Amino acid sequence: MTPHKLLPRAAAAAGALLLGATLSVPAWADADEAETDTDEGVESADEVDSDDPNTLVVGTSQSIETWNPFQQTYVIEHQFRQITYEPLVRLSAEDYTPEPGLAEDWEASEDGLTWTFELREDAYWHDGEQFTAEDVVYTYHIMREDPDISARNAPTNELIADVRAEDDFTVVFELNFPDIGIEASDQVIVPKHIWEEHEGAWGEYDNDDFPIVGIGPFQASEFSVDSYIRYTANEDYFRGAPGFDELVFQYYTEPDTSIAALEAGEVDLIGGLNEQQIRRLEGIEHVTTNTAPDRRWFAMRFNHGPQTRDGEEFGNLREAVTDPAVRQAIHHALDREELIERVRGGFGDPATSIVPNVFTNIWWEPSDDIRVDFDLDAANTLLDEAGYEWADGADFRTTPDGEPLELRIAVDAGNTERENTSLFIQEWLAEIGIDLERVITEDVEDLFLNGDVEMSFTGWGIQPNPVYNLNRQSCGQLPVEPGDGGTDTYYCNEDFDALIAESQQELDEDRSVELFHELQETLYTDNVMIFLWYPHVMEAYNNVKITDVTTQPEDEGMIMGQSGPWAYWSAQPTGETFGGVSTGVLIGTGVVVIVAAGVVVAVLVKRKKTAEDRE
Amino acid sequence: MTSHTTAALPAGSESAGNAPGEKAPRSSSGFGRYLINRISGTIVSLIAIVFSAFFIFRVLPGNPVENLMAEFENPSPELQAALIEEWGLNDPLPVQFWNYLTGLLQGNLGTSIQFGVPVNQLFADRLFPTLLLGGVALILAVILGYGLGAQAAWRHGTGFDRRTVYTALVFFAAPTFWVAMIAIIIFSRELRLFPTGRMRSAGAGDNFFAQFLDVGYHMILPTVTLTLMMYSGYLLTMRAAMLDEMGNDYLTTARAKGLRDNVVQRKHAMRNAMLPTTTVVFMSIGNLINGSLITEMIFSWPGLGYTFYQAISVPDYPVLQGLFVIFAGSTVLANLAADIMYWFIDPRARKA
Amino acid sequence: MSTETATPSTPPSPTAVRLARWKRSAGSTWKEFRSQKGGMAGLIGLSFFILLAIFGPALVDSSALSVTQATGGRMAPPGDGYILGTDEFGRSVALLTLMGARVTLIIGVAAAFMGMFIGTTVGIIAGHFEGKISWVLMRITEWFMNLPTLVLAVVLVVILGRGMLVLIIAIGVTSWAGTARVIRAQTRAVEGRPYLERARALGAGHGHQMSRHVLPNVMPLVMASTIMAVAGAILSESTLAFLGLYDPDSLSWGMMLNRAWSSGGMSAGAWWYMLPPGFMILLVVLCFTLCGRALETALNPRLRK
Repeated sequence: MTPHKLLPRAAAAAGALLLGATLSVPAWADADEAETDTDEGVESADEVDSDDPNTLVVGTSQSIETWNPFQQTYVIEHQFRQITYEPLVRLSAEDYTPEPGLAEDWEASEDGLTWTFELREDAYWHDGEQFTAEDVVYTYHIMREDPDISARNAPTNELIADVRAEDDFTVVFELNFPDIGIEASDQVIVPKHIWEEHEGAWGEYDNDDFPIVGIGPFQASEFSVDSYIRYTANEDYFRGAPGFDELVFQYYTEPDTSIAALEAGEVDLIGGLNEQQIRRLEGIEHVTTNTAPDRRWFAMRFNHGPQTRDGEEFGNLREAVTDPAVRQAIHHALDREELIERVRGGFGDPATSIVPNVFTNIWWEPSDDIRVDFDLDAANTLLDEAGYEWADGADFRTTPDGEPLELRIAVDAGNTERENTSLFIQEWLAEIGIDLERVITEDVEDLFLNGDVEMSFTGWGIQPNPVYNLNRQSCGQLPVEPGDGGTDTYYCNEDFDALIAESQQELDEDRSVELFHELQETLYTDNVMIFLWYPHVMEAYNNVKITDVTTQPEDEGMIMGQSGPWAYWSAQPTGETFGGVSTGVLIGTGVVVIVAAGVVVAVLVKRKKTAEDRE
Repeated sequence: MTSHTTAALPAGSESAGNAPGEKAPRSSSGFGRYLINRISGTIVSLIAIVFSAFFIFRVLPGNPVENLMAEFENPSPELQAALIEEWGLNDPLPVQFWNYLTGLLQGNLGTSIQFGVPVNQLFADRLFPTLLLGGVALILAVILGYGLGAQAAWRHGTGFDRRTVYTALVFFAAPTFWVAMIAIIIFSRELRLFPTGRMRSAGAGDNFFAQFLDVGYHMILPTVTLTLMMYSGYLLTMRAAMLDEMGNDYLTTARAKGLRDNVVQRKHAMRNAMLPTTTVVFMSIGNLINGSLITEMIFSWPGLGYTFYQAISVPDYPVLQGLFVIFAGSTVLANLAADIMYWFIDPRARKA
Repeated sequence: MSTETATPSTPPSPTAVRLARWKRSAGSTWKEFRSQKGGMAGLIGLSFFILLAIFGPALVDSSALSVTQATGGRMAPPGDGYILGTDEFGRSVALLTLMGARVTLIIGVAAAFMGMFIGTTVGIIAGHFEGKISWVLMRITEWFMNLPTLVLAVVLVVILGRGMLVLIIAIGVTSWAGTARVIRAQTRAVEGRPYLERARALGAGHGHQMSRHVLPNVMPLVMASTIMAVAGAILSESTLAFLGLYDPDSLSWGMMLNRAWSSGGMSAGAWWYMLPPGFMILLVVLCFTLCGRALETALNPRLRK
């Protein structure tokens, strides 16, 4: 983590709404016998104690800003939703395919407009209330009726015409147009009996009445700003009780600090590491490192010319970048393997498309006839043929218009990885006669959208359905006013847009995959962006204490940041612990420090005395 | 940042006194008028700060929503638009300024963009760590600086004097962040004596004593770093002021008379030298803020300096504005204190 | 011919008098300076750094900075032909440290001169004129003194974009206020002297008074402070660079430390990557400080004890 990339999202508990608290506390107290264990767990766990073999301590650098699942944005909040709540349909740990969540079974009508979900009858909220179809209907009611929340869910609200409960355990969705996205929307369901207390003001409800009533394997029971989030196991979870009694997210502002904590046994699971850190941890016996492909892609994007939706062009982009030959030459001048090796220490896979290779079913790879390999000679030839002359003795080429061939790349300030990548690209482009200026800035997005730079880096996480990311390259994303966001590249290709529209409505799986492949191929051959790598997540955990962690996908998958509660739910305590700084050690250290200070003072006083005597 | 260099590191005695002295009003007489004059100047400064706090950060490039997108699980244009609306970033600048101003008058600093909590609350949470670290380091630096400075002056020209002065100069010349990095490498990484950062550890226990020890344990490295960074200025000032005092005849006589008087007089000289030095301590608050910013950042110390660091790249306007007002405001108030103190030290300040 | 013979008898021109006086005082200052061991050590050290900044980069092949041509291991410890090990790209830390001297010194010196120029100008004007001008200038000075300088410099660099000139401006602009106050006080003192009153009586303009009488008198103080200010400016530059606010195309020691930190040098325990640039900063700042102190002592008889 670089100095200013240290943007750990600290948060604080927002003001408490007492109404919800007074209501949920008696319910909690009334809970049946099975809850007694958990209750004790809460009491004995007034301190975060990594010595407890039944507490799983996870290092995190973000903190929760709001507990309202409709208003959440950050990754840590996503994790909160994954382990506390449940959507109708889950993405499986094995391979991200849809599998039952709160719905046991579901089917779409012929025309794809009516979806019927059969719900589980064995799911209970954390306070003992049974989960029913009313909860689902109410959740979508909130999304539609609350002004703040509905703004965030505009696409869903556009899609869904109606949600109704057929009976207690059957829900029917009527859509305005077919969209397979509804199947695994990942929208978590909230308990109606809690949320109806806030009728009409759901957006302002902080949902921070601990313990928070959800339905997942863990229940958020305690939170301390910038310090920790504590979850207690839900023994009645419908998939079975989780392995650990407690799950604690301990706040670390920096990976370096959390590594020391893992080494010392203070924390059991950490992620977001870099190469040096993972290498350091590899040599430690009680630590197992896990590196696996992430659901992300990383690319260098080209600016295809700022224009509004009406076709009005603006900005002062250097024309050369809009020449396909120049982009193709640049593509030839980038060595993905070398970059992954030198910039990421080998922790990544070469990328070819906007879909990461973890999604094996829709991921696309170029065939040999269109594959672009690292080849500076080929790049030079392309530029020669396209009329970019290399004047005698000049360091760089000139364009056919006689201008120097200069391009600019915006690099995110404080992002070491991107800055390092830009250094390599600058040197490679110099070899093919392109003068690349690196602009290090806080303001990449604005510079790019205003056409002040020709390139920059970008990368996003991808859901199993990549339509959102593909959509960002469509004509529909061009801004209405100059400078507005939305588009990734100003790329606009009507054939591409038609393919997206088709893929969104295609219910046939084979045809759908085919369409996705065509879309990815277009991005590659048009050099809309140059996809550089799919990063690996780098995580590590204490193997003395934890066993049986399920990764997603099962084979070489990730632990943290999963879609679903799989890892935290499946992890089992071994019953043993490793290390951990006990209070005894701390007291000992304190005593040593105080004694040492005393000695120093004594020596100083003595010295002073002798000095006085001397004089 | 060491723009204060010339003020904090005087080669001779005069820097300790002259700087505030020349501010003395020429036409006023009496402490009351002096005080009114200084206070009115302070109020003008505070108003200037409140205004500049808003505008300085508005010109920062970067769009908070855009910069935070990477942290979001599911970024979408709709989410972006909703957040821009929520955070009031669409309001025209005069409206934003008016909201800032009226909020400030009611003691409301707005809501942090990246943390989503009221800035007041954020600052309340983070003020204590800053005061703790900065306060302890300041006290240690003053004790160390005064003690060693007085000793060095008394034993002027000896090996001790030279060693003390050169050591101080070396610490002065070392970049704070580098000292912190080296300290972490040696004491945390290799020797594993201290934690690499933060203020509390996970397993510290709940009772006060355990918490106290835990915080104390985490404090050691950052405090030592900050102390080393600051003490040299006080040491050199104290030494110079003492030398100045010792040049006075009554002391020379006293020294000649023998040891007993000597000790008494030394205490006397030190007391006299203390006032100008303390003025410098007050004036070096900016220095302390700069040092805290760096130290807190490197040690992930959850204080205000670290908060600034987190806020700048977003940019989190409400947080930045608030911090700016706090930092600059405390400098102004400390300078006022120095001015008032100066009145009692230097008779020249009272002259009409 | 006649002029030649006449010269000795005519009174020497004012310029000549001033020159002679200046030579005399420079001579005695130098004598004083030379007698201080610390100052001499600083001066010798400084000459070394200046030579390094001028000739260092010429001694090193420019490919030492290339990332694609680097041959060393990733953050390899000293050995294998790399006396100070390698950085995260496999470049020689020793060569990078050599190359870093120039940018660090240029920014430090230029920023200090800029700060001193602004500070001296404002100080003399505020000291010379009474009333409104002085009041306004001093309020501005106070405003700059009260602002958190590091915060202000960070904001300036972020707004203006990363470049050497921007860094110089950011450091210069945030560091002149202290100087202005000291110079103003000194100006007030000089203005009280009889010969200035005589000059005023003879009808000398404000410009003449300030440039001919005040400036030469505050100049020694300005020079000594400038040297000290370079030390401060170098530390400021390192701090800003460490925070990531460096010119991406000019390697400085602060930038090296930023890279060492942000590329995981701490986890790798790469002390060889962090010690050399930090030591260089420490040494060069120490040299400037020692010189500055010695010069102040040499110029100010009160300090010689």
